[in-house]
Amino acid sequence: MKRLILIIAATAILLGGCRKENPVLENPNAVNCTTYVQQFDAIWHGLDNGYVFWGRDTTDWDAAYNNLRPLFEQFDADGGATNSELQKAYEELLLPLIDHHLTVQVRNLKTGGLIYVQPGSHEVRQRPEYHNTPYDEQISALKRQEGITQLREWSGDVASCFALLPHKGSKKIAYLRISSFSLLSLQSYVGYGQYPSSALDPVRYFYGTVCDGMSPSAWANDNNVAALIIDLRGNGGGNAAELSPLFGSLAQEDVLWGYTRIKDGLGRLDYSPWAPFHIRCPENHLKEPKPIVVLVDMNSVSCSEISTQVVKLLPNGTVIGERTWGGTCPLLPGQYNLLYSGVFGDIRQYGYYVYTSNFDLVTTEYKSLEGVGVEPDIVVPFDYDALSRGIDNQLEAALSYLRAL
Amino acid sequence: MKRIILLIALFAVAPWHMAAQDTVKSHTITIGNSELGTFHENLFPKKAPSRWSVGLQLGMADNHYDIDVQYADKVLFKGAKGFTIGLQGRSHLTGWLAARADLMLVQKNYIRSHTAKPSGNTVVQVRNAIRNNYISLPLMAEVSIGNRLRFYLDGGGYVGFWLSSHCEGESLSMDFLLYDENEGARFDEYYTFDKRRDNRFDAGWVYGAGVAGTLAGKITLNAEWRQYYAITDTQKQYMLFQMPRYHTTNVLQVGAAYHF
Repeated sequence: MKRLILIIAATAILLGGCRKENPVLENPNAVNCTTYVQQFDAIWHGLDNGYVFWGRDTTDWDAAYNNLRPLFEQFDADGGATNSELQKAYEELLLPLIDHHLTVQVRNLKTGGLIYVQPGSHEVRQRPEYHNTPYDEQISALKRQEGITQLREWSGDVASCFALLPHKGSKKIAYLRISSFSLLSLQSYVGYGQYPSSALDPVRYFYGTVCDGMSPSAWANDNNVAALIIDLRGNGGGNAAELSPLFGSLAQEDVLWGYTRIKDGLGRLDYSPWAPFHIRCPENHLKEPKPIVVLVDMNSVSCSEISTQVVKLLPNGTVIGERTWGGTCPLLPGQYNLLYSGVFGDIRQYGYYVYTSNFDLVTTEYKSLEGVGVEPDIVVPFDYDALSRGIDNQLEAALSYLRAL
Repeated sequence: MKRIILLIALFAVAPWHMAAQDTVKSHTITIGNSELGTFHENLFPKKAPSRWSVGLQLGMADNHYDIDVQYADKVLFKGAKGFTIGLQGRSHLTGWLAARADLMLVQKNYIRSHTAKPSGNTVVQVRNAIRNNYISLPLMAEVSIGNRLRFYLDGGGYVGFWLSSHCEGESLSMDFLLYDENEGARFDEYYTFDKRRDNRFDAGWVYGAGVAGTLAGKITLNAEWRQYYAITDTQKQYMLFQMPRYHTTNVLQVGAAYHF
């Protein structure tokens, strides 16, 4: 009997013991951090499990763990780190990553100071032709355009501007500038309750709701409007729900932008299959295709890049300006426990916050634009000297292009 | 479970008792002090019916994908059924002992579901059915009792190769979440292996029990239960803190073999 038990026990051990043990992982969305190592672990593991670009990002993340974790242990052992030491350590960890939405905030446990690391911003600032987007100077140059009419603008951090510019004969070019994709959200007061209701008027006028007939397509359907310019220079992106009413309306049917995939497990290379990503065309869309130019620069990011690509896909669309920022992949804040990827942490409650994409997005040719940006059809570099003389060379290029058609 | 233990015990002890009582016409099988019964000598034939036998077998595979989802507890993995088909071969060493080698196509399927609340209180669940085809080569020792109707146990190891994987179902696509569509993006496609992650080599333990009967002359039919217990992770070791994933596959199969 003992022999039998031994045989059975040995067999069970042999069978079971050959499988590897599971590590224990903590949900990085909510880790109460009291040490530098805990902060590092939460951020490292959160990105390890949920970063959506491991399929294409070649950063040696394991080496980063092995090399940098001892440094954070040393911070704890030393009783703290200076802000610059912490900044340097997190930059070494995060700057190689390609996600151009990625923003990491960490509270220094000793000093209370906040550390910010933005790999996308770092990369864009390294571009030799780097510049900011002087919105006010560009609007001033617009206002100097001969024959400009119907000028309507609203200033603020979601600034926008609408105008009609001369085309040929009595025909017009409808010009529209938006600085973010928060306009429709603003209209419904989502997160923008601090704005006076009067601030919404231009928003309603420019974009409104489709039933108000004030969408860009309503202008474009005006027989007097021969072409459109959508100016997305410096546009910081925003709510992806605005893509359809603002840019789907410029098409005549749904636009297949490309394909998305999400993480479907905690392994770095666990992905869902690619799924089509459409920009839906609303009922009140541009009925007759007209030439459309999108103006972009290196500060056009996120939704503005997705929009730019929509126009690029249209047979009547042309992109003019500079290569965009490169933060093309969408995200849905607050959905970490839905998708196990994307934004996690809370700077106030847990002392760290990571803002990163949920979706890996590629074009219809399965080309990723993340970290790369959208290349314009016609490259027109920013010319600050001309702008200081009141000439917006990129806008001039767009107008010349449309008038020459 | 008790029956399985009893069978294992029977086969573990029987040969030793046989050796001790080889000169008598009948044999008493005992476990400890318990007497299981007395069997006629030809239950343990000393001479093999033939040197070789080969045949076909097919059946149903019920797979369980052993994976620890950790905190991603809205993602569930559930076993799924598939089929198995292939060749069986035996080299009969003695009347009760044979070496067995099969070449089998085994499906190791599973279902993955993801429950989520994309907006408001709307609860959705997307479901993916994953069909994995493996070619497996089990090498086993098989001990048996009986003559025209033989009961057998076998056990050993197997090596295999992950031939293909097919996925069907829905995913939480951007369209689904952005436009509040009623269902996720449908897909029905073969999976492209990722060389960095997917470990297509498969190996593990295999064991089972069955019954075989002589049909006519040199033909035997058999029915058996078998378990493939993988000890190779379906992933290569490509990251720190990696969650291992293993297939455990139960198979019920029937077959026919020809004795040379």
